[in-house]
Amino acid sequence: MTRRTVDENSRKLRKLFVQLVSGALVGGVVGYFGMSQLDPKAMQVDQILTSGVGIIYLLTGAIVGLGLLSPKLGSKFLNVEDAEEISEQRRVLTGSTISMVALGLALIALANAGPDRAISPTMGFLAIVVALFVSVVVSFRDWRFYDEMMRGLSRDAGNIAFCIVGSVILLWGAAASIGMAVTPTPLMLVSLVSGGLLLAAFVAAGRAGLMMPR
Amino acid sequence: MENRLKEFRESAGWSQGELARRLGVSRQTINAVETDKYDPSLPLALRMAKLFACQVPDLFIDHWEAEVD
Repeated sequence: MTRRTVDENSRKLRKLFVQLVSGALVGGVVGYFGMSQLDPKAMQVDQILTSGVGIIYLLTGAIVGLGLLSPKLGSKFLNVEDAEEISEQRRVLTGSTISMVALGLALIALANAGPDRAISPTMGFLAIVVALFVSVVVSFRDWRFYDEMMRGLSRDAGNIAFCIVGSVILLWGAAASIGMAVTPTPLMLVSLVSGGLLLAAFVAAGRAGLMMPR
Repeated sequence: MENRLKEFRESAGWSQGELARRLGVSRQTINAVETDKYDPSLPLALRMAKLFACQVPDLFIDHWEAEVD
């Protein structure tokens, strides 16, 4: 192993350490304060789940958005080679940020909507409709900027999401139908679909080696 | 699939970003190909070969052998 390879590996390990520690810290702090603002003691389990998924979307979108605002800073915590790479991917990353933030806010709004709450049920539902519309429009726009690997990765994520969500719903529904499990509530299904999509995107990215420190 | 893209790229004195720009793909794609995480499409493999003035089998190594009857 050459001196250059050793230095390069040390740099990647340092960066991975910074990413893990800062990710855990920011995630923990934002998750804790975010949930405490939503008053989890007054919430049902499915509301907490949906809010939690919403916070993950919001946080992920905010982290990417911060990287876009300051590419130099972003190159320290996003998995890119340097700040220039963030600028090269600006259009695609902007689309991802918009979609993630919109869906995150909508999930939190839906989970906290109710007749006697600050957000009415209709507004909660409308938030999801708007977020979905924004995501679809952004996806169509971004498709033109994707190269062949990103398009393949996107299809791969769709397939994985279908397998994850389909399998869980099939088994859960079957078990609930014979009384072996609790019946999934509408919010549990919303959490499952949105969380499954996010998980699938991470799995697809990992399979393409995009989670390896660079 | 095993490949020699990194070797060819470094011989040309190009960074991953420079090669990505010349091929019209992202740096992530070049990185994924070089680390054997992604096999490029035939059109992209042909473009890579054209860029390095070589044949596709010089860049991508397939160990498959046809069965002899």
